[in-house]
Amino acid sequence: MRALRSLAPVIAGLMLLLTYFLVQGATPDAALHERTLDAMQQLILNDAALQRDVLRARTGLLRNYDPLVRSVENMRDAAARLQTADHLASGPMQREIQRRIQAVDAAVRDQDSLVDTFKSSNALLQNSLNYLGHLLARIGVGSTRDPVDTEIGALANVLLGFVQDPRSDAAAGLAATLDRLERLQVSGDRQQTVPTLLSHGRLVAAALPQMEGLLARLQAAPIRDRTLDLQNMYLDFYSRADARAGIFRILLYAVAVALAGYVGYLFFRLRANALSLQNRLNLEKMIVAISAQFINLSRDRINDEIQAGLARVAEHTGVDRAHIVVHRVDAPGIRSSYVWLRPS
Amino acid sequence: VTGPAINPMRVAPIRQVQGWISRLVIAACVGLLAPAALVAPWAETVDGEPVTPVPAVEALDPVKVELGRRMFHDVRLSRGDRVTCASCHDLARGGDDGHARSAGADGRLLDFNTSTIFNAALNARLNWRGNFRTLREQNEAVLLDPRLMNATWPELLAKLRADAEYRASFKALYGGSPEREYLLDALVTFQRSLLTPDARFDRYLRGEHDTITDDEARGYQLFKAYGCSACHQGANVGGNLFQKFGVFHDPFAERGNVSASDLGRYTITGREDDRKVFRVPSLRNVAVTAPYFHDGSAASLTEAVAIMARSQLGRELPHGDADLVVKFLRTLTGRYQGQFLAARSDGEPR
Repeated sequence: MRALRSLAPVIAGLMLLLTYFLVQGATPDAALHERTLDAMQQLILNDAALQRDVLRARTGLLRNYDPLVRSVENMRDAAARLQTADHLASGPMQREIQRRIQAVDAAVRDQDSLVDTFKSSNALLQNSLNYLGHLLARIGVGSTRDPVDTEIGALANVLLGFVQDPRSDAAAGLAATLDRLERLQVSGDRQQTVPTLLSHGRLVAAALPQMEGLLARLQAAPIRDRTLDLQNMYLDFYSRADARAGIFRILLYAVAVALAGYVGYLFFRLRANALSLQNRLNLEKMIVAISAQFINLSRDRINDEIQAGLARVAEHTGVDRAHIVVHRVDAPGIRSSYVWLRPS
Repeated sequence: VTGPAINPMRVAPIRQVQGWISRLVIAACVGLLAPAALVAPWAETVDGEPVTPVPAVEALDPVKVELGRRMFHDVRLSRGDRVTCASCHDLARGGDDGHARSAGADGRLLDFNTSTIFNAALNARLNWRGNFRTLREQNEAVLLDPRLMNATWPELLAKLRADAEYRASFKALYGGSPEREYLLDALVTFQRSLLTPDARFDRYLRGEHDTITDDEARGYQLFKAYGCSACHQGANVGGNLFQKFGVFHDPFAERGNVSASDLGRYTITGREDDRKVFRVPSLRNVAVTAPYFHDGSAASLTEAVAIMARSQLGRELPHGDADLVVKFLRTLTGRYQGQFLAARSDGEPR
């Protein structure tokens, strides 16, 4: 009972240690890890698709905004799924990961807002460019002597240069051409056409440089960089958490091996004790049996039985030779002796 | 960065390799798979055309759709059991109510014209001011708006829970009694089924060139040439961006009596740039969803096209061109449950 009392704390401590190792050795949630990595990849992938589509939309190669909308929605969805990416860390590290998650989220929101502005501005720009092209094609400048037609022709030329490079001198040229056209007296069917040309021309002149700035901001959006920052930190933490879990799994294995060894040791000790007890029991049974032979034994058979008993003891103990020497207490010398030799 | 610096040497070599592989995969995805991201199943592109066909209805749980349909037509979703969702979104017509502005629960006219519910699931933003991103948000707002359904969740859920049939349906679908999330999910699922594919113009886009007339095809070319497709594009022919109403000419100047609702997104964001900016409406089924604009001020498609030409182009369209554009717009009427949507007749009760 006393031994059990002293053993109880050891057992309890061992159980606690094993439980601790088990908890620490658990692999980080694999499904959540996959979702987190997928969200990061979605962010980077959709950001790349968005960047390309914005350029295509700006140049008129992409003529609908559904792909832009889908990319932004996917990024918003991915950013929302990233909110659980801090589950591995704790303390300051967790706060740092949270800060990076918020940075990604803010970048996505900013990009969402910029894309909204881009769509509206680009639609206006494309609307005016389309309409100017349509109008200039329909006008068909005939007489070069007509100053209105001359300026409309000049407008078409300078507009082409401006669209190709809005930062060049073409901007000043476009403004000057529009001003000249505005000052001219118009008549006939040009009375409706020229004001429309002027309106759309001025819109293009104002909107195109703004669009360039907007595009630069869209292209400079830090979504990819911030996502990679977050990803690097997240993967580092995941790697550490996984390595730490691996160490605890090894410790758990070591404890299990030690316990298995100890159990084996206990088994052999138990087996040895059992064998010892069995030998002792056999010896006692033999002694009892030999003793029983001397009960009511006639004197003439005492020597024979002593000899037989000696033989049994010798055979039991496995010796090759055994002697019994009998001394008298009151006289020196040997009174008698018995010898047993193992048959060769 | 205020956190501790990361020493890459502390990371086991195998982890470094994993990191490199991960980055390599991402780079490969960005480089090789980015084009695939463009081609969402619903975003069919047709030879660079600005308009793409309405996609087929996605695979939805038919039992959930049916539950949503029942609730869509159930007066118990409103306070006092007065109106249903279908009261304003008539699925037998254009998915709207045909009024310039309907009367609200308080008897006063609502601020905006009722938009069609058909193809609403394809819109990037919802409502005239684009103040909702998802059908779920929008549905909940309509249910709880004192001027619309005027319901409260406790009252609404109690009514549905008292109905054995609803209880059984919700139990079978969601494993519990009617709850807010379940109700919204069923309603949204039903509304996602309200697409109108197979318009004549969609078939034209898919190569069946005899499905529209020469005039309608010329109308489409003018629709693009005049720049209408700069805003009205995509699968829903709009619905995916904001635009100022009155770029070159103020349409409210003619109408007069400018109200807060005419200020558009400005009333949501407070930004000056958003003054008179609205979500560009979808032109799908536009021929059967009169009257037009946020205030329902244009009674006919011809009138609406003329106003748009003045406001957004800064000029009057030649009558012939306007007529051709209107003819094209009529080809955008799609089918619901196999039947083309139909416009209301003049004497039809609304």
